[in-house]
Amino acid sequence: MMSEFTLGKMLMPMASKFFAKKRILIIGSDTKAITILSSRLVHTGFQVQIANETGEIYRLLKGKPPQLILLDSSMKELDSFDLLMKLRSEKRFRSIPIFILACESEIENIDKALNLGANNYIVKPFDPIDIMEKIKKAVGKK
Amino acid sequence: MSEVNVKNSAKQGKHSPLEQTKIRFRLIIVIPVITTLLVLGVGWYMIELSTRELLIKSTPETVMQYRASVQTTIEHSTIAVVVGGIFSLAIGIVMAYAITAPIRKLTDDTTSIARGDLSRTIHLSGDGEIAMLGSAFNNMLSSINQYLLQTMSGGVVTINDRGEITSISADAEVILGFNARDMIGRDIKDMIPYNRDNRKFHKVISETLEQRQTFSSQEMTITTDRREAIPISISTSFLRDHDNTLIGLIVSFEDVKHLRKIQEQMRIVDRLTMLGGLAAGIAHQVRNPLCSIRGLAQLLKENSETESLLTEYSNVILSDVDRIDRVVDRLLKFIQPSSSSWSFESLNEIVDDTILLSKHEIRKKEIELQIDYDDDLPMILCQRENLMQAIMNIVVNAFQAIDIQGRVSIRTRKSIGETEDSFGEICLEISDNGGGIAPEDMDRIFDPSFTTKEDGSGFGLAITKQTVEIHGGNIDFFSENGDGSTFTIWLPIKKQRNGEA
Repeated sequence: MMSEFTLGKMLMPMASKFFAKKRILIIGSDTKAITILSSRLVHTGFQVQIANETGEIYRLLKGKPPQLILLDSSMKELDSFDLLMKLRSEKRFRSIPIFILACESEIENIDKALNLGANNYIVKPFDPIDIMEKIKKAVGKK
Repeated sequence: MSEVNVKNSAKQGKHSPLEQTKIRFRLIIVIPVITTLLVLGVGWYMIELSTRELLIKSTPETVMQYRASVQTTIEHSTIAVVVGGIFSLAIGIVMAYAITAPIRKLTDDTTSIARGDLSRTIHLSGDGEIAMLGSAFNNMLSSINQYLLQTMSGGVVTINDRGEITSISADAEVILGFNARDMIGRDIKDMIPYNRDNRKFHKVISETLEQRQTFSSQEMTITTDRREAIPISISTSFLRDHDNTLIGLIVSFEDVKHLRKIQEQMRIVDRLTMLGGLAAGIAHQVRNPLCSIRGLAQLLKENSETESLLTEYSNVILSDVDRIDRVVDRLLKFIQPSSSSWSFESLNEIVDDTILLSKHEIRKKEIELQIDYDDDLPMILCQRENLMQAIMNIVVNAFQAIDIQGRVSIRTRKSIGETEDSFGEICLEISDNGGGIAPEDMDRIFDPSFTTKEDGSGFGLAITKQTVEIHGGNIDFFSENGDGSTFTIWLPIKKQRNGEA
């Protein structure tokens, strides 16, 4: 297992001063993949919040809306489609980009997510560089 | 196979011949006695009345005067009563016979039906109630026959305890090559001769009859006058009546080739069901760790110097992660085929698009692509993407079967044969002149775990078969080892609701 320190060291050169601290909320189970992604985001200059418990999720959502939400659909206790629907029904979250990270690659799932208002549907295992590009693009547009 | 109790019809068979005679005897006694008594009673009453009348109205003189004639009247009346009695006795006997004869026939027929002779019909002449009862009985019998023979898969022959054939189902006619009409009532040995080839068959029958032991799925070959060495599987079960008396045997036949095919299909279905249960888990169990492996490998690569060993290793990890992911993707697609929407499409266009997408496979080869489309094909109802994928799997296989130089030909045709819900079929044929399929692989090529390719998942043709079947079609192939292979897909031209195709 790689320690935070080593990870940080590896990512340091990638940190960029050009990005203002934009806040990204990652909702999902505390998996290694999420940790790696969030480290990459942090070292690229984003502010990252991870919420993996229902209570925590709602607490974070009540505060100031983030610039982008990454919604990991592999949470056992929470249906990501339900959450997506709830978010889109609230005015504050209507225009915030939401990316779904999922293990299911079926077209039905992708269609459902996009119809419910997701801006992107990314199937795991994703390419970190690719996802970073997509995030930068989505946040940059705002 | 379980034993069969013939409960309802057996009730008729419960009357022993002795009991039947008793019933008839009673009728023959009772009817004449009643009629005779009736005539005698009426006659006696008439005599009584006339004598009493004469006695009351007469004076002593007239008594003397009419005595002789009164005497004669009484004598005549007595004779008339006796003769009438004898007549009515005869009429009574005739009536009793007239009533009991058809009933007796009905009883005989139903008894033999209860014994398992389901081929028997009841013949009662006339148009009275009894004849109607007979025809109702025949109707019921033919429904029972139809039901019995149709619900049993494969062929069924029933024989009675003397070894005589009592019924033959349509499938058994086909399997054995005999016409039921010719064989019913004859000995089973007339149909399946007692010789060396059929020894096992007769052993099964005699052991079932004599040792009261049933057999299931005994594989053997039997030879009849009409067909030689028929590979079949035989099961026996008892035909019993209401009193649990053995009245015959049910011998069911399965064409083994057909049976093997069914078993194979069931095996695949079982496996799919099991895989289906795993499907939901697989995506999460595999893709989440793959995601972190990929993330870390990417980090490793970014942080090592170009052209260093670490970069090389990271690249291997990255490409292998992608390969695992492709396998997972195909596996999931196979287990949970996407239920994409149905539309009417042109098969030729679908094939064109598929070829376009598969062309990367022929880059380094010299493949002559021969395309022969039937331009008058009707549209077919299909799931376009799934069908494309199904066809692509075969097309890519055909391209890959050719080493360096060869030919792949693709043709479409319409075959006529209208059914209730289709206007016949469209046939798509994809053949190559590559290495062909090894004989030992032929039974397994549609098996989801079978592959001959080093990096193949084995799902390709399994997905194709599944998709074709979802479309109500069929797939088959022909290959002579070393001389290419031809895959043929038949897809039904389904009728649209408004009647157009």
